Amino acid sequence: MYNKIQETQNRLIRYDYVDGTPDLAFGGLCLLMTIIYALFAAFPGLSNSTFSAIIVWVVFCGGCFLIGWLPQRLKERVTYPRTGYVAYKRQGRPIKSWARWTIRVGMPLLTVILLALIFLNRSKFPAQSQDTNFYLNPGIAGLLFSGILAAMGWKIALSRYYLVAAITILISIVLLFSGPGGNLGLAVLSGAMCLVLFASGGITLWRYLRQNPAPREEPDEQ
Amino acid sequence: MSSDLRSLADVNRLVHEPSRTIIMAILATVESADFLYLQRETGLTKGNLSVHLSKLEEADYVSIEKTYRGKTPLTLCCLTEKGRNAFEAYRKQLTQFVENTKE
Repeated sequence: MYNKIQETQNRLIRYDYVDGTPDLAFGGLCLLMTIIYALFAAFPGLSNSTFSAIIVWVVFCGGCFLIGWLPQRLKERVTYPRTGYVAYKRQGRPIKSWARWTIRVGMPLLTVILLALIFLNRSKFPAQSQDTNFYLNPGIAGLLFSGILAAMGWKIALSRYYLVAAITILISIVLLFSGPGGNLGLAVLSGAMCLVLFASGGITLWRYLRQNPAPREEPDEQ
Repeated sequence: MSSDLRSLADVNRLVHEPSRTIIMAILATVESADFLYLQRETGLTKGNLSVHLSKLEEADYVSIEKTYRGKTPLTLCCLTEKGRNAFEAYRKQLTQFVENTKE
């Protein structure tokens, strides 16, 4: 009985990920990043201009939309009518609406101001002349990303995230030793991640839809 | 009767019924869950689940809100403070019993 309670509660924690919508949302974010890095790689002047700050804003707002709003709308249409609705507990005290808006507007604004300050004072940075590809090494970024995915898999006990993390490690190792560096490398990494996450989310959603067909409309009782 | 067994006899009978325990375990983990989710998780029929929820509602352990999402009716269930305390006390009693009777 005690084990059954534990099992039910664990299943409940995994419920948010059972339909693959978070994977698709993160895949969408990776697609957005691929487009941005590919643009930076194709037009090197872009990454050194204030235009890049606007692009960061677009990525941030687009990311918020993809990760927050889109999966929720998908769940309302696909998951909740099939397997039911669950509202998770908010950890700690609820955030007030003014605080939420300060975070939503303040964070990207702060990012843009910091980027603008770095750009305006770029001559004061001694590392400016060094090869920045090392710091932006896509291989290292990929390894960090795979660590996040593995931690996610461990926290919610979903094996598919271990598989995605393992594929990311492989891609990172390839990029670390033989792939292109800088923006092109980051474009390749985020593009590969986008494909992996779309595949993972797509397969999970397909399996979920097969196992849970849409509910039939019940006839009115006579 | 040993004190361990006596402590088990004192458990809250309303929570101790397996289906109701699962319902309360689910609701203790989340803020609220709808009727469909509870039905799928417990494997109960609509009628049986309704009866169990009514008993829990009568004891003021669960609050039930009937609402709509778009045009679809939605029955949201959530644990009250009293229900949360009752479930926590039951869980402690059960854990203590299991610990004390380990060989």
